[in-house]
Amino acid sequence: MDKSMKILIVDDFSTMRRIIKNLLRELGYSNTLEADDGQTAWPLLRAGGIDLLVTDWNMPHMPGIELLRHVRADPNMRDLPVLMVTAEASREQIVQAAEAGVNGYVIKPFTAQTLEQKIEKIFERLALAG
Amino acid sequence: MDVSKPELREARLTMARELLYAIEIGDEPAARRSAEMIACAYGSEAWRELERIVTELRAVLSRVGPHGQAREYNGGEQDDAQMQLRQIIEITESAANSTLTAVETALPLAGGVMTLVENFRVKRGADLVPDRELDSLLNRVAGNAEALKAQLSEVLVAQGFQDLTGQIIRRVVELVRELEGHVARSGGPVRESLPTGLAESRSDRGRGPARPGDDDASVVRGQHDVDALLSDMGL
Repeated sequence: MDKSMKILIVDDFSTMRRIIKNLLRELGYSNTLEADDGQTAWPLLRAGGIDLLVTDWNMPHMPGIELLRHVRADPNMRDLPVLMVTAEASREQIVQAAEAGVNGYVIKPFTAQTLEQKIEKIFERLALAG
Repeated sequence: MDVSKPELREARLTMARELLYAIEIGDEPAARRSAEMIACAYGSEAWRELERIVTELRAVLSRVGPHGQAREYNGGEQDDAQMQLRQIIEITESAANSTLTAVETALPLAGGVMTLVENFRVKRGADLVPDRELDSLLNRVAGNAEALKAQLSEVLVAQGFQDLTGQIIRRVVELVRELEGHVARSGGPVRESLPTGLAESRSDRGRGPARPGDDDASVVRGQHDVDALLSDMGL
């Protein structure tokens, strides 16, 4: 897996962004960007160069599910891998995210190992599909 | 009550005269009855106002649950808010315990490295260090460093409590704000429903962490359940 890939972390809680950023760095991924909700993430995504989007669901202005839908609706980003890291625990929402095209779903609280496994799984699947 | 009407005014005067007479003759039970009747007559307006406020609060509580869904008011919302506040205590306690456990595990590991290095220095000073002992030292130091790193990652992940408790506190704050707004506007009409689109946006915006009272069937209990559900969907 390309450890220099650019990862955008979107979460309204700065502590959670720091946690994910540090875990990713421990896993060897240091090229990260941050945004505090879907609205601020969108211009960063539109600017291009993002290889993986890690987003929360429950955020003000533009929630993660809406950001995911925007990404899938954009011809330039529809194949962008999206990992949702969220406390949203209802089955209905997980199905909703899957139907919207999420590539992975990590429920909070999570472990470093879970995050690593899900990222690896996403890229394994994309490699098989590609 | 409008006391400008002659019949009401007369009724109040009669009650007042009866109270005065009962006091004058020392008939305490009669005086008490008259006083209660007067209080009741003058208090009915206040009671009606209070009743109206309570009705409004019930209407708000029935509409503004933490998940925004319509529910019949039965007092459960306060229980729900209390349950969520208790959940904050549990989450913070769990995070504190995880952090303490990691620190308790990490401290002896760091101490072990210091002891190993100190012993090594003593032996090196006496020129008593064979190569195999040096290899052993390096292996043990590397092992301890790896274990330390794992414990520090645990401390890192445990800080996620701030996100979870923050989301729960926001839900409670939202409920309190809605109630305050209605109390402040208690002279105004009761809203029949939430503003258009708010319920939808709440659903899309997310609900936050599952609550202890949530229906088991509708909520996953951890990453294993999420993986099983997504696997069923071919993901």
